Amino acid sequence: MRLARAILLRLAIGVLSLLFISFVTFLADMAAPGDPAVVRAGEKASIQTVERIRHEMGLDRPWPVRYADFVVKAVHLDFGTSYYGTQEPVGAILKRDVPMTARTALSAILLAAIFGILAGTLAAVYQNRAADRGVLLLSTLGVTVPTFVLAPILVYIYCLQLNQLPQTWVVDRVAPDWIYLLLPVAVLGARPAALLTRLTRASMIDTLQQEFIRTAVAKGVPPMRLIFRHALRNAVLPVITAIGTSFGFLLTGSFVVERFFVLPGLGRETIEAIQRGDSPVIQACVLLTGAMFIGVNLVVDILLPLLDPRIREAQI
Amino acid sequence: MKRAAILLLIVSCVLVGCGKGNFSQRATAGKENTFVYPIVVNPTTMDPQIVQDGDTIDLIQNIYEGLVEWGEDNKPAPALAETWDVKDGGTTYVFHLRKGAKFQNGREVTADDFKYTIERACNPKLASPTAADYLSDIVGVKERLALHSTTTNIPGVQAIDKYTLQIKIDKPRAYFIDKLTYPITYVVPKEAVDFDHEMSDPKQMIGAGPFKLESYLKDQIVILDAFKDYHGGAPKIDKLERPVITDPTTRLNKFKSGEIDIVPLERQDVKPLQSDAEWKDQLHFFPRPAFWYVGLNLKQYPPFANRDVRRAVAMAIDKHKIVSELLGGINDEANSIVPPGVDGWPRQAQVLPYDPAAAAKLLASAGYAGGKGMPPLTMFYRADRPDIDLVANAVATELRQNLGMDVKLQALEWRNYLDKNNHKLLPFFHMRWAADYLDPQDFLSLMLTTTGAENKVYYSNPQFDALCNQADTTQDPDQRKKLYDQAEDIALQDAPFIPIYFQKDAELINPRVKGLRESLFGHLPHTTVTLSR
Repeated sequence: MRLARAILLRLAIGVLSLLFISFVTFLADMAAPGDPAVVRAGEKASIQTVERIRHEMGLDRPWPVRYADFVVKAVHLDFGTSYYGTQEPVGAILKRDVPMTARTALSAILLAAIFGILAGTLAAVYQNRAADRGVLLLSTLGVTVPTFVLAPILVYIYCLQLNQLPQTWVVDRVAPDWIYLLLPVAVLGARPAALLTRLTRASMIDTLQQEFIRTAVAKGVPPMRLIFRHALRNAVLPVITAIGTSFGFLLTGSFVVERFFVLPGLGRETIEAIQRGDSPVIQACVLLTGAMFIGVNLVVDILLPLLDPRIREAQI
Repeated sequence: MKRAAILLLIVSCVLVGCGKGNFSQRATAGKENTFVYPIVVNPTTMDPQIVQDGDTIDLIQNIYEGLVEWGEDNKPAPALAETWDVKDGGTTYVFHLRKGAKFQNGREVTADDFKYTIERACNPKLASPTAADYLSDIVGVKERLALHSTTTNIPGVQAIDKYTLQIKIDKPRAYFIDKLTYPITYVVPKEAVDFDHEMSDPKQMIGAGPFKLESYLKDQIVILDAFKDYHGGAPKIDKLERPVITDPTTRLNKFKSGEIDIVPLERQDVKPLQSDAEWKDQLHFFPRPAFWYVGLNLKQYPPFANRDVRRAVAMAIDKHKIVSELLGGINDEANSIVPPGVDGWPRQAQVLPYDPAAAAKLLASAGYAGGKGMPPLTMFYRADRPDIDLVANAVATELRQNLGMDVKLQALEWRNYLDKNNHKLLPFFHMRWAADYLDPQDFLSLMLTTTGAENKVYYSNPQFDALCNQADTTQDPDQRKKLYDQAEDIALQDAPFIPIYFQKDAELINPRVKGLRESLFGHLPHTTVTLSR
């Protein structure tokens, strides 16, 4: 019951956060000089043409009216239509783009978590030996090499030199989807994987030195059981929190990755919408990103007390 | 230790992969007669009456067609109009349409369709950004755009019969026919489009051009099929695929693996390719009728009202150095305002030479020795464009060094820049002007006469105005040219604009592509392209 109340409270705060996010986004859009009508009219348009287009786009209404209009419609999940191109409803754009981003981001975080926890445990168990050094080297690279450097390197090796993998997502795919998503997911997951590895290693080394482990060793618990059952279960808690925050990296990482691998996803849509000043699309993308961030952190907050009774008692 | 060795082995296997594959061959199998080249942004619109960016025009000019189009000789050539007569001293154009030319929905194109198309383009509800520039010479269009006329009828456009269209303009304008090459008059069938609204459904994309739309997947690809009933005969290729690829590195990689046939290049990629034996023969350069200049606003920065100050600034900028050192020697220096490609250009114009010593002296004689007494000046330019950034920085540095001026730089986001420029608020800026049509009027009269629609710098010289006004309506080509030459020399000496360089684009083209047709505005519709293996 207390858990349910806590979740409800968090949800209410989440909704308020979203409202705040939308207001700030709207204000930022407002405060920027020039407006979408100017871009739409182009570099050769006269001031009269810009005025005419501004009127047709409804941008000549006062801003509180426009914001109120936006909020009322957004509550009904209507985010308007894009200012440009086919003037598609924003809902349709999201419906098309979200699955791709969700697919790559979730695969990346899942792989990153599995890799990070296993490699981090391995490094901790073999602390200061070759395996540890190897893992540390890889994870240092993973943290320091930026996405926009890693992606061209991998494409150069696997696509241009070895010719084994596709360079980009295409409409007429000649292999299963996962082949096309291999490189994007690897690039996207590299940084979180490296971060989670280092975190697991540190947390694991800490746990392995604690007294209850010594007791377990003295009791004669077999090594595998000792590591995975006794040590890892305790060491993994901070890692789970970190998975939540890593998700933020993924969303910004997808801005670069989706553009580079031509994936029709939310990250690319956001960037392009910002570049052309497509306010309705920007609003929806920012809100959705915010909602995902809030959602993932909520899940982490619910998960932690379930895994650790101590937190359960302290938090609620 | 053993386990570590195994781990290292696994890691190295993953990194190196296991032998060479053939993925790119598998991906291009079955596409022998499909011409693939990327579009670098999502198409901004599907509507020919709305479009204005070169990338989207390059796409939709393959679907739609107008009365005339650019020829390879950079003159207007017959398209849906087979011939035309110019009457009444140059104010009446009579177009004789091709008989039997069809829209992609099977219906024949008639003069009524052109009348409908032009009236749609001028519909204030449609708010076409290019209508005023391209159509306001036609009798009745200005009134319609200004909401003064109550009917949709444009009196200057008449369908005389099924195959004869008559257009009347306000006064003789030798360049009017050139304006009709622009997509705003590309004909659309009224049964497929909405008079008041921009096209929003790919099904509405029906034209009379050589290709018809097969599919349009936003953010991904536009696929066109050869239109078998095209009036000029079916194109030789089966399909035209335009994948949307915004990242320049990705585009280049896909060209190198043979998945796309043409790739437009960024400046930084050109130099390495020029010295790369594998690719240098596939590198092609295309001069464009566009010039990059520095603009000096006579009102927003008071010292610029003084002609000598402007001349000093012009003489303190070493465009040769900018072009050869900063821009990699690809472009040509601009020593005129009108670019090469316009009839009669390049010519020996009276441009101010680079002479920092004389410039400093001139500035001193204007009362600003060593830049003393001049208020600080801010140079504005569009953000996120490496070329623009380089040139703006070079110009500012030279003015500081050669004239002692206090010049700051400010990059603005595009919409902010554009808004300020529209309102003539930028005191000093670096920008481009690209030809709408190949006529000096588009550069001189439009940009620098006192009432010129694109005069953003408050330049005003009665002598220049008189020459331009006279040239604009003169019919004799030689006489016109002489008048514009004189006007251009005056403008170069007065220096409200300092031309820096002319635009030149670079592309890699796969040798399997044959029969591309070019005009100065870009590739022409791909009616004659063939693909060999």
